[in-house]
Amino acid sequence: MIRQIFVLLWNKKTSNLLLLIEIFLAFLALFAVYSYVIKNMDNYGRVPGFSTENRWLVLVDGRDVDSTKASTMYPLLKKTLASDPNVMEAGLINSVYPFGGSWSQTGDDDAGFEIEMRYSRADANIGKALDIEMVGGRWFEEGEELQPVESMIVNQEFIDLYYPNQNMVDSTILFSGKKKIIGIIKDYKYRNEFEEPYSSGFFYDRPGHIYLSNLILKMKPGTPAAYQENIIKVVESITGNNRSVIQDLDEMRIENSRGSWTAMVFLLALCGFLCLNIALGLFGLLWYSIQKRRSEIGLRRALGAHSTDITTQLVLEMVILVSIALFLGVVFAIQVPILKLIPMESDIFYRAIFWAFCSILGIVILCTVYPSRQASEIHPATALHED
Amino acid sequence: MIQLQNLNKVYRTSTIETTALNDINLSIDKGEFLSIMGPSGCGKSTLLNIMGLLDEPSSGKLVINGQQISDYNSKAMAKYRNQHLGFIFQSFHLIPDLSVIDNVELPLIYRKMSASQRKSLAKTALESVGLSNRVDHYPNQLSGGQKQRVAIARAIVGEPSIILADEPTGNLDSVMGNEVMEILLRLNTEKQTTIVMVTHDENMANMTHRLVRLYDGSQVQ
Repeated sequence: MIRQIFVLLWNKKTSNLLLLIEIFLAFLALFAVYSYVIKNMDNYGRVPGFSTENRWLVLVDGRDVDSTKASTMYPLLKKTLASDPNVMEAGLINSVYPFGGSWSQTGDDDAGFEIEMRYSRADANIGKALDIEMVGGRWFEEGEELQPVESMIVNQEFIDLYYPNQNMVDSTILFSGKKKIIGIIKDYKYRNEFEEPYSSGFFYDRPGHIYLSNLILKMKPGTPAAYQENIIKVVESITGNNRSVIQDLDEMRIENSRGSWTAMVFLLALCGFLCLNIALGLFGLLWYSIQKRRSEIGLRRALGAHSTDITTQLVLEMVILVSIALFLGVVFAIQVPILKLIPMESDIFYRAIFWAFCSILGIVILCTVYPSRQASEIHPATALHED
Repeated sequence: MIQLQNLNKVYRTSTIETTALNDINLSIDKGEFLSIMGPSGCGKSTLLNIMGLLDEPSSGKLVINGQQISDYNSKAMAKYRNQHLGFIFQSFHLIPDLSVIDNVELPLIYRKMSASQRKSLAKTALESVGLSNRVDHYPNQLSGGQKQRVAIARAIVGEPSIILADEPTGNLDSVMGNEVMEILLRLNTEKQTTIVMVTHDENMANMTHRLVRLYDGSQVQ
């Protein structure tokens, strides 16, 4: 039967070619979208490494602040806010705060190895203020600046990339001068929830350093948003201006991710529409084909085919045809990871190929079984008489 | 071999009831060549369809080789058609997208036979109808007579004990019709195949062993 199906498909190659092209292109489109979505969802699934719930970010306007003023104003601000009954922890951070859109990057050559890192500058309280997950070593402590070698904290990705399988806690590396890795954090996805794994970490600055101009407050659970008014009054009383702003980190996280979610939903909706088109096209094509082949179906029934034979044949015809298109699609798609055409993990592309293949094959089987079963119910005497 | 007892067929719609066959009693022996004649719409094809298990009677009994067919389910009927019956139609009913040999092999596919065995049997069947040089042709490359000979090869490839032919010469000129008739007569004589043939042609009918005439669904001869 399989050979006959191939013969039938080959002899209708002109009419089958359009369907073949449609399925081939649909597969490539699904493959592209699935790759994008899988990559994003993989990144989304990685732990952020810190918490945003009940965290407020105080953006202090530092336009008129020089280093002298900073050395007293920011520690005072931190101390005053930390003593607020609704504030559980207060820490100072530079302009590279979570979901702010800013980033700093530095790199160096450590004994012949190129290393680079995105970093923030923070004080000793940021670890607790953000509940940053440590996997080794410790967070900065008060007076960290007095250490003989400058301290740094890196994420696990940094270790995995540059010092795999090594215990780097308390090791000194060459990274913009000598630096001592005092702690390793799980991750620090501060740019957005869909951020790709990247080596990142923290450098220490003492409170009062002009760089540390923003505060992160860990609020007591249930603190109402209206309480921001009280915080801002305290900030204004110390800074002497009303240009400071408070933002909820959780809202910033959601807002920051909205674009990626929207893009994914839009692309998946397009894929859904594409799949619907395929489904409707196949449905229509099969109905048309069955109407044209009623006498053939009647003849096959007369010659001894049972209704299940007819269903099997019609489903197989479509599955084989679609599989040819999918096979061609896979051959094209697999070049992306093999030739490394896009710098992404190969595994993402293989999974995208698998899901795109399954999606289309699933649609085809779903859309083929019903008309094929209807066709198998064609009364042979009637069908043969019609011709 | 084939027995029809008090066979009736009535087509019903919500408003009309049409009697296609009315109390048919017929017994066909093994190796008999029977022709059925009658005006259009008298129920000839309906009778043939019932004998071919393509249609079910409204009442009455159909017994083939001692087995009452109404006891069969659809799967058993399909199997019976495949193994014991061969069909020849007026309009040939060849599948245009399959070659001659693939068309002939068709009944054997449903016997789950190996490809080589199918091919060998199909070639033998085509040889017996004089078309061994047309195996790879397609139906649209054949004349009407050749198409019907392919249909005969398809009908006999599984060596059925009964062949049901619905106006097999109806679409052919007299020369080609005679060729087809000669093949059927030869089959009947050499292989003792039981043949039931519906025809409008008195001359063809006269070549068979027995003639049954129908009129308005009833047997009149």
